[in-house]
Amino acid sequence: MLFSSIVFLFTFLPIILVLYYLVPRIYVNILSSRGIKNAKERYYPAVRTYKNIVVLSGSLIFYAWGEPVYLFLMVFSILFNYISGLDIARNLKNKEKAKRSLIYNVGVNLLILGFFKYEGFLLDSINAVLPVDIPFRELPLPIGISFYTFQILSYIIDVYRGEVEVQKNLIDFAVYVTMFPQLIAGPIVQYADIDRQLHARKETIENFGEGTLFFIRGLSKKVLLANTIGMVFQKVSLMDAEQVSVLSAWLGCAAYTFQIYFDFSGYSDMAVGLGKMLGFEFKKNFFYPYVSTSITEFWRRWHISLSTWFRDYVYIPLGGNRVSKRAHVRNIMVVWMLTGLWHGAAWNFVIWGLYYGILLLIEKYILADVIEKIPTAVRHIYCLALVMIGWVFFFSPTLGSAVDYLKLMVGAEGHGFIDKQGLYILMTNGWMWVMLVLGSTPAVHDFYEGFIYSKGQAKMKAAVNCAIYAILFLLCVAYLVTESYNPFLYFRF
Amino acid sequence: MKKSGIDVINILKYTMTLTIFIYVVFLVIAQGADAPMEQVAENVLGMVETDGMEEAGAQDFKRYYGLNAGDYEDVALYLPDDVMGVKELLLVKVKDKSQIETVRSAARRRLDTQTESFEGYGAEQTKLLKAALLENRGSYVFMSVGKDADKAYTAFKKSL
Repeated sequence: MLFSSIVFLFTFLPIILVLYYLVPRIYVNILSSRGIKNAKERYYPAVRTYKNIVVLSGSLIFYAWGEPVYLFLMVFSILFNYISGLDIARNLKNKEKAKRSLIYNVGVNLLILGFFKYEGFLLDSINAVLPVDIPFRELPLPIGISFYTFQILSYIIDVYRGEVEVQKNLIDFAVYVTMFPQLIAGPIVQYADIDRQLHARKETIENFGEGTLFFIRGLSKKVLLANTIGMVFQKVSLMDAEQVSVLSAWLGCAAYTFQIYFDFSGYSDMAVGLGKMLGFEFKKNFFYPYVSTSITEFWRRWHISLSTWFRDYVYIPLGGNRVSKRAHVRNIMVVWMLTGLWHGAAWNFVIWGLYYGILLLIEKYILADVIEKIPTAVRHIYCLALVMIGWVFFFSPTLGSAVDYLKLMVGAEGHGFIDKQGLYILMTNGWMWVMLVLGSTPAVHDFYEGFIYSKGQAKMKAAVNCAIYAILFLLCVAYLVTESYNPFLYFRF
Repeated sequence: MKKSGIDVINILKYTMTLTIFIYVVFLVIAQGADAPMEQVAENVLGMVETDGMEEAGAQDFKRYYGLNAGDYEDVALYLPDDVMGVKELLLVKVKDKSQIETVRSAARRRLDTQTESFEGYGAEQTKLLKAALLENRGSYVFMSVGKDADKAYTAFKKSL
């Protein structure tokens, strides 16, 4: 089920929210009617359990909506990891046994992920390289498997490290794995960040309101901005290569650059918003990445939960940067190759990851002193150009087509630098480009918040705020009613 | 959780591993990405109204999609039976995975051409064309235009 779908907005979400807020109240009312005093306080854990059961049931329905067959995989995975967590925890005094249990668990989880995600890629590559033709049947990718597997691993590893208590409540653990707000496209929530919230969170009207604003903002980013500019990218990608000038190629790439940002950060905003509505606090996943002045900064602002996961569970265990230069280079390249592979089972994703590994090493070891002296505007252009080139590997179906597209961008195909088609794409979407550029910076948000939350005329400003968000929501609904199916780009990961 | 020498946790852990393994094997066996075209087409057509479409042949496939049916393992094409109609269904079973992108590109071009033809005066047709579904799964490429495109896609997924 998509957040940006009518069935989610007008059926699933309202039902879940009503149940979530009413069911425990009904339970407390029943207890109170039986003469039990202070029922809410005395039976708080039970109330929390009922709320978690609502979240869990809703999440399983949400997940099963499109692909019910993989619901079983998720349930088996929850049970296996719940038991594994208990096994590791009871063996913590015997490090060797705990380690064996950890390795077994991580191995099984990675085998499941590897089978569903990389089986086709691996066998395709073997068939291409070796003189064999191994027949295989590729299964559809279980949606969100990369995200929830990483969440599970964060829990298992943290239990082994003794950084979190083992979760003995199966329902709480299942809620952690399946929470529908971030189940299928993140952000990847580390167990340590949410452990306490699973059994002791507080729902407030303020949080609910804030969550609603987050959600509408995210929905608008996805529906009004990402989908619209996505059509420009699609237009360019469908053009015959002979018709694509340098300008058109860069505009196509720019369109994708904006599309993926507003699509993915929109989803993350919606996830954070839904979390708030249910009393959870998720960390932010994006922080205006396109204002970065270096690739190093870009990756501190883009898909923060994934970078943090790789830092905590791969990079630092490998030794991080507290090793020899040679080992550090190896660590960076391993992490970035894995980051690329995490995004997709194809060579262009591996190259995309390695591309960033190399850029980060260049910035650290070669440009470290130089980059600070370069004017800020030039650094912005440098960073954005490299990020855009990176996206070419990301959106191209194969490595070969990525190289072909890059040739168009540098004019190597001789189709001219500027043509009518390119100018048409630029001019007919003039306002859209301006909105996308402004929306990629904190300027609009800061200005708006500064106005709304400034002193004086608080009621009038609150009314204006409500009206603006209501209009945004209505616009989104109007688009959703008429537009075609538009899944989030990150669903494929 | 060890009672009289029986390690319940370990037994459960290995049982769950085995269950997952059996489940994955079941999925691989049950997953019919190579289901025959007749069966897939029958299931899909069983879910959608065929009024407004007629079965087309290899010539039409070449004419409207620019592709040779002989290059693919199997093709099922249903075209609008009226000049003002847009209802369409395409199922292509490829011989080789590398053909998928070619078929998808041809289908996208077909949708673009149709959209351009109706844009400006055929609001309903344009809406249906914009809501068209183009997907691939296993060795199949699926495209459907029409009010029940969603139903067709669901039937397509289930029949694989």
